[in-house]
Amino acid sequence: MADLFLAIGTGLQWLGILLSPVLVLPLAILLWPTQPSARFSSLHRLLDTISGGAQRLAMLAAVIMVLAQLAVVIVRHVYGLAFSWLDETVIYAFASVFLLGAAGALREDAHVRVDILRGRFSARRRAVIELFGIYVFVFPIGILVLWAVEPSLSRSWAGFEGSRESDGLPIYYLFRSLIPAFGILLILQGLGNALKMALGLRGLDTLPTMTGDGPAEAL
Amino acid sequence: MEIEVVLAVLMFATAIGALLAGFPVALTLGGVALLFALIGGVLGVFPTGLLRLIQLRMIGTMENQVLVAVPLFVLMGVILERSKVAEDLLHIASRLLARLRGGPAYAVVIVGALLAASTGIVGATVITMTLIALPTMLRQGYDPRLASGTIAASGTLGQIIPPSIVLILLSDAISNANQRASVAAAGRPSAVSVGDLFAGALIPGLALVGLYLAYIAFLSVTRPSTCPPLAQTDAIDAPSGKEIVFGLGAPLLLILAVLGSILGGIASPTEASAIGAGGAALLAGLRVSNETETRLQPLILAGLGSIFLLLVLAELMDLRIGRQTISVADQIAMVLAGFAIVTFFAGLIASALVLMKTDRFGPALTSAVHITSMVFLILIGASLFALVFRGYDGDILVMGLLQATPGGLWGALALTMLVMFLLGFFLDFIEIVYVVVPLVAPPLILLGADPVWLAILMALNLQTSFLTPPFGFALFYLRGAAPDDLATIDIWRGAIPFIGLQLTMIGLVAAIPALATWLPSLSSS
Repeated sequence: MADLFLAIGTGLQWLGILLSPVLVLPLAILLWPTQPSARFSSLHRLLDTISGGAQRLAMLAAVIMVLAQLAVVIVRHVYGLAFSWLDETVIYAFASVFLLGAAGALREDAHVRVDILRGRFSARRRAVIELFGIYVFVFPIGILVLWAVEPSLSRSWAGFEGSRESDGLPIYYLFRSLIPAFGILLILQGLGNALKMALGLRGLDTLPTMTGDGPAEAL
Repeated sequence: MEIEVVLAVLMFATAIGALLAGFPVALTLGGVALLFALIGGVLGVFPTGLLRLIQLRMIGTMENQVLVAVPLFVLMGVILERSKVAEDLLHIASRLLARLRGGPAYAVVIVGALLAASTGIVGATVITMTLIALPTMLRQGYDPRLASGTIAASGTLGQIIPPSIVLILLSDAISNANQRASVAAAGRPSAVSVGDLFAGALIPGLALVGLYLAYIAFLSVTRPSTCPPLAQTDAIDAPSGKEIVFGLGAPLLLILAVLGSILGGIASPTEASAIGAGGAALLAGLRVSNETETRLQPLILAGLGSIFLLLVLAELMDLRIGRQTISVADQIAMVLAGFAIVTFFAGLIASALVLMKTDRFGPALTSAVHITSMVFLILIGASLFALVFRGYDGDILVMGLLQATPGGLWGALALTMLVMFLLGFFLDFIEIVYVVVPLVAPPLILLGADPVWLAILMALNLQTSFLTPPFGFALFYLRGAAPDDLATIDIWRGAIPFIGLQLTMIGLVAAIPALATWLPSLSSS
């Protein structure tokens, strides 16, 4: 059993390495001597759909988190009971909210930026900064996350690692898998945004405009 | 100079430069750190294996029970805002005080403090109040400087008045720093809880509200032309009793219940935040069901009522399951409580349905997911940054610097405060909490600073920074939502008196640490 999951892990790793040249696509679009095909926008729409799906899961997780935490409070304060599986449901839902939601937030530009100079940049300049940031910051972080979890995660799956509590949820290995899921979603959405920027810079898509009031929902 | 030191300093400088380019902060911080780790790895001065620790940091965050309170409070705030419960609060309060000289300004301060307490989201609070209260105040003949200053300053109260989200994050960072300091000093390990920080922030926060109110009262006497009352000839529609009970009383009760249960030690912040989110959903459902045709309203009311039934039952009877003998009365009470719980959840579902029908459920949830992701991505990026900076012994560098500052604790504290104040111009509270606090707090605590006192000073300091022209966040939000004929210079000048009040408060807390440490010491003993 352990061997199987180690093999699957290695297989996934190679799959990732084989697919990684796709990450160069936005740069290729940008630098290609002839006008690239507009068909690439369907790829970026597909990537948006993936992060949109993950975001829906995150929203569902948020609802579960509220209901489960309310249940924890009520059964503890009313009946004096506590269940590890209920506590763990809250924790798992909580982690899912931001690990599955981060890519969607990247797509909809909900992450805080420093806006002091940004407002004065032209749309093209912002797009170039965006592309630069994706290649130098987003992809490396995504890859780092995958690299960091790789050795221990296969082992966790191989043993179907469960909770440390006897009445806990038997899915600790899935909980830990949220980390690589976060890494993959981040890379995919980075690719999607990079494609959009590259197509925009080649005049095949509209470049995003500034929302104006900056991170309207910052704390 | 050693190459590690050069790289550590260079990394900090690069991060600040890169942040100014305007790429998302969380990814910039993490990305720059990763870049410097790789450079160090190539040069053979950084153990790149250290980077695998990011996995442990992430799991630590994912399993952190206390931080669950963050998305729950975010949800509470977003629901209250989207369902216009927050807006009603301001409307009703300012109509109640309309005849009073300075009335709308008082309403802004009080509602700002309350809203802030429920959401802690500065941007949303400032924008809401600018859109609702500013036009009214200007029409009534208020000095634009007073009107805008009051709004911007009241909006920032959200960071210092519990249960503020940033205080939760700050308690996490300060608690870690305190443990580090205790280990370094070989002794007295004491935890700093969210409750401690909430209790510590209460007196300074309320004192600030008092100072703001006193300032407005002072102006209304010395310069009455700045805040004229509504003319007697103008008709005002006084809020009805129903409006006062549901629009003003209910949110107020919810906020006080959440805060009280934390400070009273009845519930953990996480538990209280769940009650806050659930209660907000019920209030929102009730508010929205008033404007649409729905038969669900009685169910929502029943849901609210069931909370009180549960409280009464749990107070009067012994409902604990798993005892040897349970009296008949207790058994009946337990069944009743069961019905109350079912009613409560049914009310919640009814609220969710009403909010869905009016297209508010999805947007509120999306917004909560985005804000939560934003906060925690910063946490992950900043912890990567801190990991690498520490790998280069940057923390030892900072500690040496602070210990070499002339004037001991006070000198080091003043230096830290100044740096944080300046960083506050372009970084958010969360970034500063997770990048700067882990570096500066352990040495300051070792120099003798009380962790709670230090945290409150930092929070007050950042709050002031967000109010300071030309870069203060609150002023940007206000500018964005204010009418164009309000001059930016008036917004800036309006903030100045409030900055003075803030500095007074910082001075008071610095001089009298008991303002911050007395309440926490009561709850811990």
